[in-house]
Amino acid sequence: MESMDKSRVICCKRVIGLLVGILFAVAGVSSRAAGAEKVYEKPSVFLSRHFGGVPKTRVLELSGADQKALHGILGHRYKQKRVRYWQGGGKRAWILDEIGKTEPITAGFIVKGGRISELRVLIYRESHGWEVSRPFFTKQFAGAKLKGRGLSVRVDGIVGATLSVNALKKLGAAALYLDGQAGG
Amino acid sequence: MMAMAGKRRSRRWHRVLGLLSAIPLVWVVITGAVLNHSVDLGLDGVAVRHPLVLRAYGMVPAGEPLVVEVSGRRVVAWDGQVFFRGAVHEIRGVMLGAVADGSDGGIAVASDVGVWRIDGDGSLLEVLDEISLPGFPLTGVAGDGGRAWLENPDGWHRVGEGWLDHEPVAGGAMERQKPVVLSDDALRDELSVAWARGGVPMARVLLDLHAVKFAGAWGRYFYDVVALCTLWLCGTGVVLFFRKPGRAR
Repeated sequence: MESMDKSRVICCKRVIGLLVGILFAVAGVSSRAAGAEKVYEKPSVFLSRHFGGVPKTRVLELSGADQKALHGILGHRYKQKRVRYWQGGGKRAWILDEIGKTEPITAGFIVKGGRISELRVLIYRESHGWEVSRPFFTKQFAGAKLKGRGLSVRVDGIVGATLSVNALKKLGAAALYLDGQAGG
Repeated sequence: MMAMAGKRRSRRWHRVLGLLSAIPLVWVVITGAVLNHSVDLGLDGVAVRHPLVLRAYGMVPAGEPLVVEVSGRRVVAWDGQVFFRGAVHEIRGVMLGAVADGSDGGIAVASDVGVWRIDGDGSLLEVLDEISLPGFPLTGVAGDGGRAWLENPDGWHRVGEGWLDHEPVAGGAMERQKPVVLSDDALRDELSVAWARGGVPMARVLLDLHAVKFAGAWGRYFYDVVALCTLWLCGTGVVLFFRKPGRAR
């Protein structure tokens, strides 16, 4: 009788141990998924693809008026006082960050003649809304000009990725504004 | 005699249950009344910084604060944020150290995955990533006469003016900075509050208390209990209103 009780206790302990193990494993997997950082293209590779290498780095110092304009475009203060860009062959590359929901999205823009010629999502850190990195979405930005505080073209949204879509639209307008300040 | 004892018992129960029913109502009424005047009372501008409250909101930094000294000034990094001259900036990775940067008393904070340049008044100048730096991961940072040096698995690299370029230095051997754990308890407490961006607005805490958010999943049933208690008090009140006391019968 006593040995049966002991075996039951051992069995219960094993089951509880297994359940706790599964719980921790699931928690570990989900926490990794939530904090996943997906690099679609390294910024240096993005520049090399367009310029055949990383061109000399240039810096745009932001004046008070620039900060005010960027505030209008982004809807919040731009944190940095200067922005780096790269140019060659009549086009400029801007690599900018903007928070989608909670994490920054790093996007590369190629601007030629005051129009966006390519948008590429370089690093995506949010757990949802990665669809904005797909070409069916990013190609909508091609040919866009700055119109007021936004883009001249209509960009269709993606269900479930509204914040990421908005972040990229703002970044596109910011890249075009900065390009204008760097000498059009 | 038996009927008398039964009546007394039921009256005692009525009193106890009435009192218990009033507790959730009082909670809702008081927090609701204060919330209704939160703007007049300026509760949005009042921050709650008690460690228990901050912990409840998950606003407590994890890990240990690491500190380095740059030209006699302390630079502290703690759970994704760097503190310098009263300003707070977000950083990624693990802080390797910080070096003097520019002539205005600014600094450059290096982690394994980037460099954050902060000017003398604490404003963020720019964030440098893999395009502007030697290959990742960075493993060390050192300062030498106003020039910064960065180390990666390939060796040491000297950073150019304005951090616009860098060059590898063959056989270069600098003494890399070694951040240490901050031991000043008073400063730790201060930075912990700064990490939480000054605390939680009192209006937010009151709203969550009003909605019983702290009770987690059980919070959603709180207002069911409040509704039942209200019905109980109303019902017993109506009965008492129409019941004549024994003396009057």
